[in-house]
Amino acid sequence: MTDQEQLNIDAPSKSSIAKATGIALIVALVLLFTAVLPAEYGFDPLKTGSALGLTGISESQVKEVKGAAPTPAPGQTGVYTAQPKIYKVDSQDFQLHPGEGVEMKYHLQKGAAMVYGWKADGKLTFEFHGEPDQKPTKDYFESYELDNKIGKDASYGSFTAPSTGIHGWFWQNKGNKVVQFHLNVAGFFDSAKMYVDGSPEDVPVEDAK
Amino acid sequence: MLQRVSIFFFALILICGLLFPTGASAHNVSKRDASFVQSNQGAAIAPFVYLGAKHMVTGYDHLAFLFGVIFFLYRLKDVVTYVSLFTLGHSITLLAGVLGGIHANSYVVDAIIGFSVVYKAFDNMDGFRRFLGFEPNTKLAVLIFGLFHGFGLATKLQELDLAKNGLVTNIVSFNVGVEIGQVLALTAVLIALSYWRTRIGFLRHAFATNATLMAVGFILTGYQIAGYYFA
Repeated sequence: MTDQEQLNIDAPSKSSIAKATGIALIVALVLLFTAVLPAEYGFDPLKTGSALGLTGISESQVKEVKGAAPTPAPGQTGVYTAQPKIYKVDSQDFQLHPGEGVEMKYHLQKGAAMVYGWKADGKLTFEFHGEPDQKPTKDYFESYELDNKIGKDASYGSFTAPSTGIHGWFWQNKGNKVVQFHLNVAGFFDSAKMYVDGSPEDVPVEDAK
Repeated sequence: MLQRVSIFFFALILICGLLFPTGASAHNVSKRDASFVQSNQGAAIAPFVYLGAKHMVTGYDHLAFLFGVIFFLYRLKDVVTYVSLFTLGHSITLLAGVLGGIHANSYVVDAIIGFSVVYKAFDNMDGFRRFLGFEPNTKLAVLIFGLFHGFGLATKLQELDLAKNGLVTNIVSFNVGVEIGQVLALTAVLIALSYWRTRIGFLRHAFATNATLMAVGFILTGYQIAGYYFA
């Protein structure tokens, strides 16, 4: 208190300040663990969140991340979605010998979209997945589509990023013949990375003409 | 007695209303605004002034801290001095953060901002003088916490991936908007506080109010620390 005006009642004692601070901390902890953390993060150690129906709030966010359905993008107004002015196109040719794998990732802001298609002359197993820039653990990723058994020779789709981060594919040739394939991507990404043998390499991307 | 109690509750409701306005967000400029900002190219003064003001008026962590700072300031001169120091602090780091490309972790910064609320509430409860025998310089504390609040504002703007074109104009506009929002919010808080101070119960309830403010600060801090681990 910097004000020079004298308080005309007794200033609080040490014990009452300590008590008030303790009570404030306890109240805050109780509210955090019973309401805030269950509602915001789905962390519900006391099961109060599910009892009060609060975990539904965070579950709806978790479902978005799982990405079965595209998340509503920013600025979505019915049939179209406004996007940042960084429209890029990219196309890559790959060749995978038996047993080899390659990974191609595009950096998108949350809610930014891309349209993709890849076509191969043989079956490839693959995983379409993403890694948010802010991830809870080093190896954290989110899987969107996984085919690690039979494989496909083509896939086409549109994608809306559930988080700001890198999103893309890992392909592997589990057959016994060389497979060549071609990837086309157009969308609102700002950079791209290719991983050969697990080490990342920046790939220049072009603005759409 | 009844009147005093009713005034107390009125004030509490008012405080809660100011701290948690509907749709308030300590974190994000809303999605629709984000889309505007991302698709914007070049200088756009008015929209960024508006976004800055909106962020401040609906950012309850900044408001809770300012509420604590002006709680015991009776003279307009003092209010202006402290608020100017806070403004100086957060302007420096907002500009330096965005222009210098300093990327602070937003959860850490927001946890410190939450802690600044606890700190100020403890100060208002006379805690430092009682426990340490002296009160740390309050002007310096406001300036330092202002620096952290500015980093918080910077991380919000950086999340938006601003266009390089017209960047400086837009950040300065955002900062001007923050000041306008701050003046609007402070005016409301000051009117409520001035009225409350004319009542006999003010000093008695002041202690309980700051304890409540402290609890809000602890919640904000815990929320952000948890976010650092979970999100």
